[in-house]
This record gives sequence, C-alpha cells and structure tokens, in this order.
Amino acid sequence: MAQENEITARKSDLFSGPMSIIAVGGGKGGIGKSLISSSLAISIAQLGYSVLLVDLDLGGANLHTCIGGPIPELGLFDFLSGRVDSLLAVATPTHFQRLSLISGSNDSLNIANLNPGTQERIVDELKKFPAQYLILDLGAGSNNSILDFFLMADRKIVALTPEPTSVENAYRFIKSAFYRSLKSIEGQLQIQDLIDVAMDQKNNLGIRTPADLIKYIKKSNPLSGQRLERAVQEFNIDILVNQIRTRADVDLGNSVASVCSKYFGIESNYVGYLDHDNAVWQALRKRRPVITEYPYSRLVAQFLNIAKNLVHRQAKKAVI
Amino acid sequence: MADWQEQTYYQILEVTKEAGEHEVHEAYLRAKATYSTESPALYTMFTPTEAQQLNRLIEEAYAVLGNQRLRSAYNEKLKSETPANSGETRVSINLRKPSGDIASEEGLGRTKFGTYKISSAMEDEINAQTVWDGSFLKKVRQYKEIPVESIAETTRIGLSYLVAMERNDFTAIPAPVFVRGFLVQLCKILNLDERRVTKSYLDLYKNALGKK
Repeated sequence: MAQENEITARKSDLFSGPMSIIAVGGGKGGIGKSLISSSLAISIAQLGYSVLLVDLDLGGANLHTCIGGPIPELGLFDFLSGRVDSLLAVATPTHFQRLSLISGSNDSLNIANLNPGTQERIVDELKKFPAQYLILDLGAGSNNSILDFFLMADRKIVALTPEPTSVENAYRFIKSAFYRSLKSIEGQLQIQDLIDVAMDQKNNLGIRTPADLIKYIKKSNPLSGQRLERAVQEFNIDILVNQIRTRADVDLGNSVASVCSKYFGIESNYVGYLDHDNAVWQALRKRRPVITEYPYSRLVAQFLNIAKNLVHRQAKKAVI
Repeated sequence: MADWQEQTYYQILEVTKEAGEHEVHEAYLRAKATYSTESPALYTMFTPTEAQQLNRLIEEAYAVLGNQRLRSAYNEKLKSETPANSGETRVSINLRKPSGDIASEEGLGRTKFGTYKISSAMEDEINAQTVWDGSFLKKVRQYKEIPVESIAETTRIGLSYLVAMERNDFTAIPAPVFVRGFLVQLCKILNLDERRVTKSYLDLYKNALGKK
C-alpha cells in the first residue's frame, strides 16, 4: 500500500519526477531496441513533452549515434565515477527541442557489471529527474540490472521481431522479469526459494507455470499468496513488433499478447507494430535519425502513433 | 485474471460480455490462429498438449458464445454463480461443464453453424421425402436454422444461385454439372443423403430444360 501511494504521489507532482517511465527491452540483440527508444523519444518530444532519453545499454551504448549529432562530452559514467554529482548535469541537450540525452558513451570498459549500490543510485536519481517522460533503452540479455531497470518503468515495452529466435527470447525475458518482480515483492526467504525453484523449468514440485507457483504458495502460505496475486495483477507489459513484412506478422503481436495473458495471467497490451524499412539503415549510415531523414515514411507515422498511444493513457490532452 | 484453465468463455476468447456477434466471431478466428499447433507465438510457452486443450476450450467457448440461445443460458449461469464471490475471475471450471452440456442436450441437433431443435415430425418428413425440389431444401435449411448467407460464405457458392435453386428458378442457375456440385455441398451442410437429393433435383432440372 505504501508503495502505491508513493507512485501516485510521484505522478501527481510533476516537478518531483517524470510522469511516466517507459522502458524498451526484449532479450534479443539487434531487434531495434535503440531505434525504437530513440525514435519514440523524438516523437514524444515532438508531441510537446519534455523527454529524457537514457542509454542503459551498459557496455554497448550507442544511442547518441541513433539520435545524431556529436558524441556528448559527459555521460552516465561520469555520474557513476563521482566526477559529476547529479544526473541533471550529465543530461545533454540534443538538437531536438525538449529532448535531452544521458549518453552511455565514453564509459569504462567494465561498466556492464553494475554493483547493486550504484544501480540503486541510478534508479533513485532517475525517479527524481525533472522531465515529463523518461525513456530507457536497455541492453540485450536478461541479467539482473537490465531486469531491474525494466521493472522500474511504468510502461514496460517488450520489443520483438517476427522470428522464432526473437519470440523465444522475448518470452524468456518476460519470464525472467516476471519472476524477478515477484521476488522483489515477497521478501520472505522461504517464498524466494520457491520462486527460485519455479524458475528452474525441470523442478520436481510440479510447478511449471506462474499460475502453478501462486497456487502452490497459496496453499502453504495464504497471506503471501494473496500478496503475490495482487502483484501479478499490477504487472503489465506492452508488446511491440518490429520489422513486420506481412499481414501475418501484424497479427503475431496480438497472438503474443494473448499467449502472455494466458500463460502468466497478466495484462498485456499490443502497443503497435513497425514496418521493416530500408530507410532505417540508410538513415543510420548517415548517422541521422530516421524521423528527420524520412519524415513522410509509413514507419515514422507508426512511431508517432505508438508515441500517442503511450502518452494518451497518462495525459488526456488534445494533440494534433 | 485467472489461470486459463479456470477462465470463463468470455476470458478464453478475450471479449467483453457485451461483445456483439461479429466481435465474438473475430475473436474466435484470432484465438484459433494464435493457438493452432504451428503458431509461432506458442513457441516455448505452451506444450502441444496444452495447445490442444486450449484449442478445445476455444471451440467450446465459440460453440456457446456464437449461439444466441446458448449464450444467454450461459450468462444466466454466470450471473447465478458470481454474486457469492465478487471477482469474475472466480468463475470456476464446474461452470463450464454444465453449459458444455447444453450443446449436447437432448432435443437439440448440431450443424456446422449452430444448433436447432429436433422435431420428430420434420425428421420423419425428411426421411420420407422423395421429391427434392428447391422449396423442400429451403424448408430443411430453415428447420436447421442455417441462414442462406452462411452457406454462401462457407461453400463459396454465389448467394444468387442458392436463392434461385431454392426458388426452383432453373433459368437463373448454371449448367447441371455445376448444380450437382452445389447440391453435394449443400447436402453435406444439411446432413442429407446426397445421392437421393442430387438425383431427384437434377431430374427436375433436366425435365425443365427439356421442355423449353
């Protein structure tokens, strides 16, 4: 309950932190997470909101290239190393109005392994950052710090492409995030162990799905069972399908959302799809964002649509 | 949201209780595509046996929600069982069973498109019928509560041909060889003996042609 109040308080007070945090993850590399997060950031800024784009792809940061423009002098690493004492100082303005960037470039080569303390510092600072929207670009894989950044978001976007490898990794990513969020809610060690057991697909307690796990916990410990059930109801994800080529690819998003709802018993929402478009790599070669290079392409219209979808649930403000 | 094995038919198809017929139908097609065994979206999430179970549930859900009469009966059942526990998630598996039985209840026949009330007088008439003209075919179709549009949609026979066949309007239908094919398809849907029907109908048709 206390946690809930904290969230609403944060949302109501614009100056104490962002209205909404949007994270883009998805497990597999090369499915367009950086393209999606940078383009969405530009689109939301164009809709008239202040946006901070954060490169959390630690050890593989390249958002500054997706946005275009010079490599920023200051980055996340300057904050982590203590050279600069607030995130506000490392956020550099971009040549888009209302959009600033915290770059992950110029980082130390072992930055990919964050210790829990530094990670907490980043999360705390981000939650206080004075921008209306925060967009987090996450790295590939599903290690704990990626999952924690993903879970701190209000809108958790899982990107995937219509390939079996990508679908598989997306599910894996969602599963890992799901179990990690259960673990963080339930502090009791006994339950934590059970969740660990459940994450092992070949466990001998017969727990195969999240539903099994909750049933099992409810039987042994009704109170935690209820708490977990409530947590599951609050956990929701947004599916985004990138690089679609056929009509069937569009429907894949619906299918994946439906499978997630049925498997986890959670809300999942199909936030939109993006065409496969050669304009993307043509723009990237020029090191300029596709949004400014090909402003009249279908792809850009799709980005704008998704941006509106993401924004409108929070702020019911007319945008033309 | 509850475990899918305990979901209501509405939750299985992911529609609201107020969803219209076409919405239910679309949801059904979407669900079929999602949970077909070769669907890419199932990969690593559901095992083939689970997918089969889901498929059965989807069929069952559509058989009930796709049929006005069964759907309202099911709604009544839901209403009578929910007040005790507030959340609709609690509607349990034993709810589904009795309503599943509605479909196979005595006195109801099944067609590809839904169910109809069996009347023994009509069944006897069908069995005794020797002259199968268009109007009798129409009578059988109406008895089985199948709209002519649904037949046109699934068989891909033009609606105007079906209507002309039922009206015995032999000038408006194609050559006998095609009509035979139409009749065979029609018989499959209406569950009639194709040999008897086609012979009788084509005799009538050929006689009419001969007279001209």
